[in-house]
Amino acid sequence: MAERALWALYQGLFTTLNGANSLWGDQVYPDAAPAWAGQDYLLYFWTGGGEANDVVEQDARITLTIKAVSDSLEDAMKMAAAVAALLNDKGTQETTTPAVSAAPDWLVTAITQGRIVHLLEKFSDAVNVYHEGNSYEFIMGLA
Amino acid sequence: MPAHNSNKVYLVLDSMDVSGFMTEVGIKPSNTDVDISAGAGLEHEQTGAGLDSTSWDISLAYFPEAVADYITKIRHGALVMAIYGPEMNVPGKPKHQQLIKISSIDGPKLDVKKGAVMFKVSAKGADTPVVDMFRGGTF
Repeated sequence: MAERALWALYQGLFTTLNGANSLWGDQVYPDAAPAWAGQDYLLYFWTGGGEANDVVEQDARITLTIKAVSDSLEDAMKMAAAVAALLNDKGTQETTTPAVSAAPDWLVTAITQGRIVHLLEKFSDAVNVYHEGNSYEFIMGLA
Repeated sequence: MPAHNSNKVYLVLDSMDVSGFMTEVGIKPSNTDVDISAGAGLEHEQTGAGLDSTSWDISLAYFPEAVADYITKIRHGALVMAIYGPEMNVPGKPKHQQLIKISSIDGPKLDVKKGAVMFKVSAKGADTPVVDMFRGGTF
């Protein structure tokens, strides 16, 4: 039985993003950031999709939102751009150096940057927190 | 008694099982009409059965690791022995086996939206079926 596609993707994405850029360092979190997380950090979570049914065997089209959270608009933008540079069009069928390994059961064959996520969160004392990122569609097939 | 909704088919082209690559397969049998109208004062056309024929639509997904194995089976103009089982190749279940001629292929077609790439194959029966599903043929 193959590993659940979403779990394979979550693990692979963490490996790719964790420590990949000094702007976020090892502050990469699936689904929700812990209370002690300091800024800046990356957050990724399921937004849509699942089994693609393009073929009879298992396959998947999963959309995740990956966003940077920072109290600096400039840093949030830089982080989002860095994530895009790491991931967009970096599937196994798109480059010889694919970005995300979903081994052993899955291949991430294509990664597509989608809609922008842009959000300003206002806190007391005129503190602004910026959320900046994109949705990404991950097309996956069994390895 | 449930209707049939499975996508688990059995499809063999020239001894190669391509069931796993199938995204769509359909067979369309037909029979030509023969006008047998005769007799004085006839007011309505009488139609008799002519020759049977089948046309096939087969869509196969493009699997990079395997495409070299099956692309030659769907070459336009190729005569291919096809075996089709809409309920797999389970004994007693419908079976159609016939030599078919590949008439045309649409694909592989790629698009910027990264849709699933496939071959859409049109074929036509090239000989009397070895096993005719529509005459009760089974595995």
